[in-house]
Amino acid sequence: MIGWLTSTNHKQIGILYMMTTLFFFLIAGALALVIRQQLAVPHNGVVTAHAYNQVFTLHGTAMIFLVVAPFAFGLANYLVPLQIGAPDMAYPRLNALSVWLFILGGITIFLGVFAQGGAADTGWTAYAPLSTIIEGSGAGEDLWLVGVLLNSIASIMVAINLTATIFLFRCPGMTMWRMPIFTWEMLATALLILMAFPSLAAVICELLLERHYGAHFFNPSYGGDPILYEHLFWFFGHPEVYVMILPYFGIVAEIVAVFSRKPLFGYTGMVLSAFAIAGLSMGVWAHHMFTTGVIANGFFSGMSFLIAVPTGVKYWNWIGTMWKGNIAFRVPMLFCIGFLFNFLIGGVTGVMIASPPIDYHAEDSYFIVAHFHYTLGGGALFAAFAAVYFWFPKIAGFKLSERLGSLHFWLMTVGFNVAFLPQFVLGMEGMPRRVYTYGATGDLPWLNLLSTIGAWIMFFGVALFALNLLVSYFAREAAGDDPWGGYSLEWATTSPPPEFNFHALPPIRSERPVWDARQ
Amino acid sequence: MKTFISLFLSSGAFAAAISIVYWFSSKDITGTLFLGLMMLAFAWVAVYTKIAEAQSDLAGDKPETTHAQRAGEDVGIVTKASPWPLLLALCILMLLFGIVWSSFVLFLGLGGMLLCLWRLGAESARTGTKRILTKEGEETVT
Repeated sequence: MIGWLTSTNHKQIGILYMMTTLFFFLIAGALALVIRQQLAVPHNGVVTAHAYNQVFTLHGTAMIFLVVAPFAFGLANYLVPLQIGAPDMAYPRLNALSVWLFILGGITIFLGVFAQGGAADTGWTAYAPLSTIIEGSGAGEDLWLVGVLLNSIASIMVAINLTATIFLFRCPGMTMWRMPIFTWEMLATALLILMAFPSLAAVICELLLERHYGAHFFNPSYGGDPILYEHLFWFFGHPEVYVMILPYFGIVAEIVAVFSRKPLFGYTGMVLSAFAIAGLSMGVWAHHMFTTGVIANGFFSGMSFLIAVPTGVKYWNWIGTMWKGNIAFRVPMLFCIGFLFNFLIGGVTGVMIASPPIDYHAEDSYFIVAHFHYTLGGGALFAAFAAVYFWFPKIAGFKLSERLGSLHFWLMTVGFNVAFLPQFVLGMEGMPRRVYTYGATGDLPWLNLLSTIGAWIMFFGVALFALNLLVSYFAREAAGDDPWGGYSLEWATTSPPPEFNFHALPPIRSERPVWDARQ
Repeated sequence: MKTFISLFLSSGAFAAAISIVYWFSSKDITGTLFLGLMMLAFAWVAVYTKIAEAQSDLAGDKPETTHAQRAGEDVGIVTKASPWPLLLALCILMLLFGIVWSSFVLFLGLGGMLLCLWRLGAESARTGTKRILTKEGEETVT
């Protein structure tokens, strides 16, 4: 126990990150079930309106700040030094500090549940002036702000550490253009964090100052401007979407290549498209603000459309990699294929709402909820499960059950689509997001019920995953050093790797040194 | 290092381009400031790296070398475990709680933070905090 509390080793810190995100994922998933149960039938009374506001706030906050992005940080902590042949991260103590700030931040956010007046209830966006009114949101909102601030500091530390490690700690022969694609995607992610997260930290500090020290950044009565809050928040908020997806693009690229038994098609294009997406994502923040009427809609719409181009390049590369490959449909590959379908729907609907006339209609409706769940749930979450199945043998030394894993995949796929496809229709029929109940009109009742059934199917899928962890732990089928025939350096060491990662390294002459060594 | 520099330079150039386009299409000072600061941040890192490049000798920048050719090279230098990052994180939490609720907790957190930073600095500076692992597998506490 003391060893884990004081560890500076990148692998232990990576595992701490991932275990913590799993814990918060289970909580966020339970909250999602409460939401869906409340909305299963019209005029339902599972929770009160006030409790419902807290539930969707905590669900969104947990998934965004404590699950999707931090899981990638954890995986990167574990994998990046291995993939570039380094013994550890560049700043091990900073690394340890970041994981503890992240864990304490998450706990602080949820401590709000025990506060008078309950947890934060202003949504994960905490828009001012809603979040600046002390009377409306008490200590729970303050705890939320402190927790998110800790989380943003932790994220910036992770980004600094990853950037320094990738630039300075590559082993002999590992030039940047020989780095595995996951490492490249993490580099692009780290640069995005460094540019975007200070804006979040600043706006949270401003909210705290406004709530407790009489500042008036966002209060128009004193010359402040609530639109400034939206600018500051979304200057972080939209790049955050790509912080949550770029690592998963890398994961999918790695896994698709290995299970297609081919080198990655278009390695250079894949790298350049990651940076194109990262760069463009810094210029689209106000497409979340089309309906405010005070921003340059044309600029933000055009920039948002442009992002589809490098994303299309990635699809081209993934499909090109699979094309005429000897595809092995193992569980990680199944989840990647699921990712490709789901993210496509999320991406295409994203292009639709990048058009202001459509966005005016869809804004704040369930269409938006369905869209971002297809990108982050059907996209990032599916890729996260792919990563778990793929790298678990390396981390734990034993494999997860293929049979239970396949069942998990199919339940997730069916459940996810049953839960979220109807929400597009709900949105188009005018159901607003963040409402705790609705009337029995039109198609709303049966579509909501269908969506709730889908959520429960997903629950059984996740339960199977938990069962898989238990069953596989007791069965302990030894994985060997390279169970999948991997390409990058982590497969050249033992499973799990020794403390200093490598006893010896193969010569590195391409982005797939372990493949080269096998030839 | 060359790739690193061109990465930051091209990112800076992109930020400069979109900040100009943004200014002319919106005349919005907030967004232009964001993008301008982003351009400056990228440019600053690129210039710093260009200056640092002259003194750098990164193993990863040598395409033809292997671990085996680097005779005497350590397999890894591993930092020893340390309680100070966890304690520092707790002190930062106290500091933030103090900002919201109590000056006493604020100063307690600040004091603790300074103590932890001092200990972390001392730990980084003194010997005995790293273990060097050599190719022969020997482990030496330095």
